[in-house]
Amino acid sequence: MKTIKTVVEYIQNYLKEYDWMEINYDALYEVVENEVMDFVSLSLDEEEVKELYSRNKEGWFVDNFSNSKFGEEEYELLLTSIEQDMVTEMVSEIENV
Amino acid sequence: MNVNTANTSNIVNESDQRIDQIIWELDWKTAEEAGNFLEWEKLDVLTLNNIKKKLAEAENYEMAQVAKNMVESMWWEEVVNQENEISNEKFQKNLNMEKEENRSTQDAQAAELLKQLSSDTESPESSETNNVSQLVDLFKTQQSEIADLQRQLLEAKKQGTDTSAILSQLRLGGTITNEVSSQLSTNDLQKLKTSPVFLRFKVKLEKPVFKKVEGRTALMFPSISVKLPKFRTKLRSRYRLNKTIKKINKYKNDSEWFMKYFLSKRQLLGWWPVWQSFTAMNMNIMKLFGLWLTKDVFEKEFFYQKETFITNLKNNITNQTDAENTTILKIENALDYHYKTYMVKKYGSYDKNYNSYEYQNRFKLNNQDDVAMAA
Repeated sequence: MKTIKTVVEYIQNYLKEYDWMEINYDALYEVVENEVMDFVSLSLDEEEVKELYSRNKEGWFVDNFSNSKFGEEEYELLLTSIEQDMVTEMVSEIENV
Repeated sequence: MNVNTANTSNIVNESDQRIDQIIWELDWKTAEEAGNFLEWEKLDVLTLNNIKKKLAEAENYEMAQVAKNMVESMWWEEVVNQENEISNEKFQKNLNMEKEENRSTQDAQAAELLKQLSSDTESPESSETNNVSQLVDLFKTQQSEIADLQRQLLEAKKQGTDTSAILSQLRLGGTITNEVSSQLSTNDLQKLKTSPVFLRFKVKLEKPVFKKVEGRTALMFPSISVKLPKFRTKLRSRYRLNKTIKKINKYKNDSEWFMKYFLSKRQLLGWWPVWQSFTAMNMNIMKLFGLWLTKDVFEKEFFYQKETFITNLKNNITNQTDAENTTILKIENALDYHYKTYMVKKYGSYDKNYNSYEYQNRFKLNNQDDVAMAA
């Protein structure tokens, strides 16, 4: 199952291989998690949003919650979309474009 | 700023003839000149977006990128403005009063869309399900194309070959972006508006605006509207610029990480946006840069390292262009400005013939704790 953690590790590894500096894992994790929560919460009702934002620090909560709410296929699409955008964005920064 | 009027006045479509004329003008310019030209023309977001699309269709990726940067910059500005306004109670009152007096067409459309959203979320039609399924396939194809491009990019980088063409493709979202975009526009959106992945794609494509409608904040796309939960009283921008600034602030005490991060963030605080913002007085980015510097970061990170920072900045760039040199100079001036501001605040005056080392020494003598920290 694709998770926020695997996305963060993928981005870290890609950029390391691309001959760039190492990115702080915690900082990157939070950025990815925020991005996931921003978009997941658009499709939730208020109670669900409250639960998401109050329990997001519990291990795997965001992943498990999103998976059960939207299904594995859709959640994977979302994570892949974020992963690819962030790689492109960061490589663009490295290449100064 | 008034959200109602800004939203409607910003979305003023220019004629195709005008757009063609602008594209023709861009053909004769470098990327930097094009950026200046577009800024000078004071185009609205919609027109810029159309220009970007036309340039991309004409495979003029360099200019498409310039237009895209402008759109993102304006979008960011809009988000900052609106977030500020949403958090401003006084503004809210004025806005509500104004809404009562003169409800705009857009408000009415939004209310209608919200109404539809409330009543239509159940029982999707079978044809709609098929459409969604097609869209999922299209989306997967696009992700697969992007994954392939990113693999090619890595290979090209390893082999030391030119990566710019692949990167241009990536930044435009691959070759089938327009197809996905058109599917998203024409599809029945009943199902899509409850799908985070497609909403995310729409946010990227359509640059929606945040708008207060009937006491609720809604994310307004040209084609759909999405209610945001009441729980979220203040919207966070999806823009990673915002988030990255927060990350930088959070990790600012880690000097080494911070310095590396800053130097790597040429796109964020680097050449194009900084050069653009400093020369064109994009106050939002300037303000962010200023806030970021004047608070703890400037004093802790730059006060003793201003010269080192500028040297690192220069060393980090090979084959400096005039624009890059100008940017460095602007950053240097900005640092000087903050330095002077700080000294005036701290000592009540600032010597025009100041010598930074002299002031730093004065500062050190008066701030033993900071001296220890700097050491």
